[in-house]
Amino acid sequence: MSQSEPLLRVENLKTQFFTEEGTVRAVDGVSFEVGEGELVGLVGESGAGKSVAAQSIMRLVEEPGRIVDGTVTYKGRTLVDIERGPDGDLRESEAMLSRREMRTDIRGTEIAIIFQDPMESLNPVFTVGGQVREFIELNRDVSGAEAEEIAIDMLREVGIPEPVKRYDEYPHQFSGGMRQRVLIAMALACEPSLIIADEPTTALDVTVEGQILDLVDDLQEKYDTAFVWVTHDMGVVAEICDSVNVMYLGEVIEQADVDDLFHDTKHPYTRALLRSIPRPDRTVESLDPIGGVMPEAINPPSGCRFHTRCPDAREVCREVHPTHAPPEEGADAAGAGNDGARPADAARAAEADGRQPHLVSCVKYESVGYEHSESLEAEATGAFAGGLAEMRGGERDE
Amino acid sequence: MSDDVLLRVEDLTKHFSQSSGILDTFLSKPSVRAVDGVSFDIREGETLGLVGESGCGKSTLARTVLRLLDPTDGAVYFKGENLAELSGGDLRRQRRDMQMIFQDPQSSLDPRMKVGPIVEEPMKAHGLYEGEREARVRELLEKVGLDPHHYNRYPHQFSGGQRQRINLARALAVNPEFIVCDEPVSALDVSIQAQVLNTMRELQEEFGLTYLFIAHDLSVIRHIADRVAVMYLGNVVELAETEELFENPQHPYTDALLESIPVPDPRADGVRGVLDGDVPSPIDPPSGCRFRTRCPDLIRPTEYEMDAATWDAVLAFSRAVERRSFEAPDRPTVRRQFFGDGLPGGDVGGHVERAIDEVLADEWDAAADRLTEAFEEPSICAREEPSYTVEPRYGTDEHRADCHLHRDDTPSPERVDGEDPATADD
Repeated sequence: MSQSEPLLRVENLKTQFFTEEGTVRAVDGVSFEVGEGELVGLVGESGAGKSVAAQSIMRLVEEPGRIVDGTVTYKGRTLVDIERGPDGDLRESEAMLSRREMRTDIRGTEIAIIFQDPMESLNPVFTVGGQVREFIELNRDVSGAEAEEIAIDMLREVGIPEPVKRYDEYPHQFSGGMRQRVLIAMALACEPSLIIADEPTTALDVTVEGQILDLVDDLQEKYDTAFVWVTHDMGVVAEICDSVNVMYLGEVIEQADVDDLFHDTKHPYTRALLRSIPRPDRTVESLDPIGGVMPEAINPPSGCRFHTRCPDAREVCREVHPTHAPPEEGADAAGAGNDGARPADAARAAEADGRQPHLVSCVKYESVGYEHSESLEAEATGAFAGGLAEMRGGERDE
Repeated sequence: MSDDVLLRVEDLTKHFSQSSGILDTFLSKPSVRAVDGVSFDIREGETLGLVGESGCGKSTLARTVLRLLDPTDGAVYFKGENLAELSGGDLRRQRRDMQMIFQDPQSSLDPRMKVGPIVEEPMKAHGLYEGEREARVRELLEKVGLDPHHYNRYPHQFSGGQRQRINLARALAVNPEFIVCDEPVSALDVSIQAQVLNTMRELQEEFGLTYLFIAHDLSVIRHIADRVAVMYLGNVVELAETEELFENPQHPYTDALLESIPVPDPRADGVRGVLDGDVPSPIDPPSGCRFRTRCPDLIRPTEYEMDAATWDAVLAFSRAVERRSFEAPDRPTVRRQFFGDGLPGGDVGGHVERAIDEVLADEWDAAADRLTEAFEEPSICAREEPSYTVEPRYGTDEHRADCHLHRDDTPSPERVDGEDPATADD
C-alpha cells in the first residue's frame, strides 16, 4: 500500500434504486480505500449491497439504479462525484469523467471487472480466443495479429493447456474453472492496476476454487495488481485478502486488517457471522445462527441497522446511528480489546504503517450511554422465528 | 441412532444412454456412467453425508436411490425390500416413507399455490390424514419454525431460508422415515444456513428421521453428518465416520478436497490448488482407480527401480506433457525444469529422453501417449480397482478407503505409516 495517495478512494458512496415499491438504498454511504497491489475484501450476505457498491465504482449501475451521492477517485481522476447544485438538487459535478472517458480510459484498461458466472460473461457464439482478442484490440493499440499473439500468451499465463488449440474453441467446450480463467486472462490482458472481482469463485467447486485463488496469488505477485474482491465466503476472505470491509444493509460496519477482523473482531454482526459458519477444520457442536433475516433496504431500521438482529442490542441502538470510527477505549462492554493499547492510537499507528486502521460502526464503542441503556429483546427472536413476515417480492438480490 | 440398517444400496449403477432418435439405435453411442457400482448402508436415525464435486454423480445417486430414476444395475433395499424390483402400487406405498428436499427453494415450490395446499399435497397424494390435514399443516409449519398463520401465503412472500422450511414441512407431511436432502442449504446465506441446519437436526431428533444429506460444502457436512461418503466420478472412494474422515482421511482425493477448503482464519496455513486438471469424462472413465489421472500419489510401477523423488519428477513431467502446460524451447530448459541436475538412468531415462525429443518436435500427443503407456498404465492404480478398509483412528466404525496405497495394510492396529494412533494430534 502506498504511503500517500491510495489507488482508489471511495467516499460516502450512495447508490439507490427507484422502484415502484419505494427507494431501495442499496449502498448507503460507503467509504473505503484500495492501495496499490492491495487485495481488499468486500464481504456480506446477499442483499448487503456489496455487488452494487462494486458496480458503482465502474459506473455500471443500470436503471432504475442511480449513484446519488459520493466521490470515487482513481489515480487522481474522478470517476464519480456528486455535488449539490444551486437549486439544491444533487447532480454530477464538472470534475467527473464523461461516459466516453470512462469507456476509453478506465474500463478494461485501468480497472477490469470479473463477474460470478463465467458462462454469462462469455458470448456462446464466438470462439474464446476471438473474444479475448477483440477485447485486446479494443483496449490496446495493436494490430489483429499482435492481439492474437497477446491473447494466446495470456491464456497460457492463466494456465489454460494447449492455448493455441483452445483459442479456436467455444465457451461451452471449456469447464467452469477454465472459463473463469479465460475471464481472468481477459481482465489481465490490458494490465490494469485494479481488478474488481465480483464473487468470481462462488460458482466453482472447492478444488477449482483453490486453483483460481492460487492463480490470483501468482498473478498478483507478478503484476502487482490491486483487487476489490466481493464475496460472501469468510474462508476466501481469510485466505487472500489484505484488508476487509464487512457490509450490512448498504453500510460498511467494520473495516480492518484481515488478521484484526478475525482475531480482534469488534462488531457484533461480524462476530455473529463468524460464529454461524460451520468450520471445515474442526467439529462445531452447535451453530449459533443470527436470528431473523436481513431487513429490506427500502425502509432500513432506525439507529444501527443491525439492532433488530443484534444479540447485544440495547435501547440506544434503536435511536443513535453509530459513527464509523476507531473503537473508543474502555467503551467496549464485551472487553474485546485486550492488548492494553488505546484503540484510537492503535488505529493511528496502523494508518502510519500503511495498514488498514480498525474502524467499526457500533454504539458500544461510543460514549452515547450504551452501558446505561436498557437491553433490547432482539425483535427477531431466536433461530426459530424466521422473523419478518413481510418479505414482499422475496429477497432482492443485489 | 441404532445399528439397524434402514437403507442398503448394493452395487448401484446408473448409466445414461446418449442416443436419441432412430439413427442412434444403429450407431450406438457410449453411455454416460454417472453412477458406477456404489454400495453403502444407512442406519436408522443417522445422517449419511455425501460429498463430491459437481458432476461426480451425487444427485443422480440420490434420485436413483429413491427410484425417481430406474437403476441400470444393482439393488436398493429399503426396510428389506428391493425398490429396484418394485413397481406401481408397491413402490408408491414405499415412497410414503421416503421424501426429498431440493437445492433451490424457489423452483421447488409452485408459485401459484399457497403454502397450506403445498404442504397438504403429499398427504392428498397418499390419501392420508383425511379431515385433519389443515390442522396438521399448521402444526408442521410451527415445527419447522414458521408462523402457522402463514397458511394462506404464497411462496414469494417468504425469504429463501423460510422457503426451505416450507420444503421441510412438505417433506414431513406424510411422516416419512427417510429424507434425501440434495444440497438443501447451498442456496442460502451463511447465517440463514445455520438456522436451517439447526432446525433439521432438531426435527431429526424429534421424529427419528434418517437423512441422506448431499452437499459439496465439506464444512456443512462436517457439522451435520454422522458418517460421510466421498464420491468421485461415479464411485464412492471413501466412507467413514465424520470425525475419522476429517481428521484421518485415507484417500488422496479426500485429502485434496479437505486441503482445498478455505479456512475462515487468516492464521491458518492455507494449502490450496492441490489438484491439477479437470475431472475426466464419465463416458470413458480411467481404468482401475478413477482418480489416478490426477492423483498426486500414483503408485510407481514395480518394473522400474527409482527413488521417490525421481518418480515424482517423472510423474510431474508426464502430467505436464499431457496438459501441455509448459513451453519447450530446447532440451536443456525442459530437463532443468523437470529433472534439475540430471535425467534418471536406465529405461526410465530412455522413455523420458524420447518423450523430450517428441515434445521438441511438437509431437505432444505422441510424447503423452509414450509417457502414459510407460509409466501410468503399468501402475497398479490403472490395472486394478481398489477396494480396501483401514483401521479407524477415531471411533469404531468401518473406514473404507478405496486406494491402492492401502494394499499392504492389514486391518490390524499397526499402521503402515508408523503413526501411533494414541499420540495422534487432536
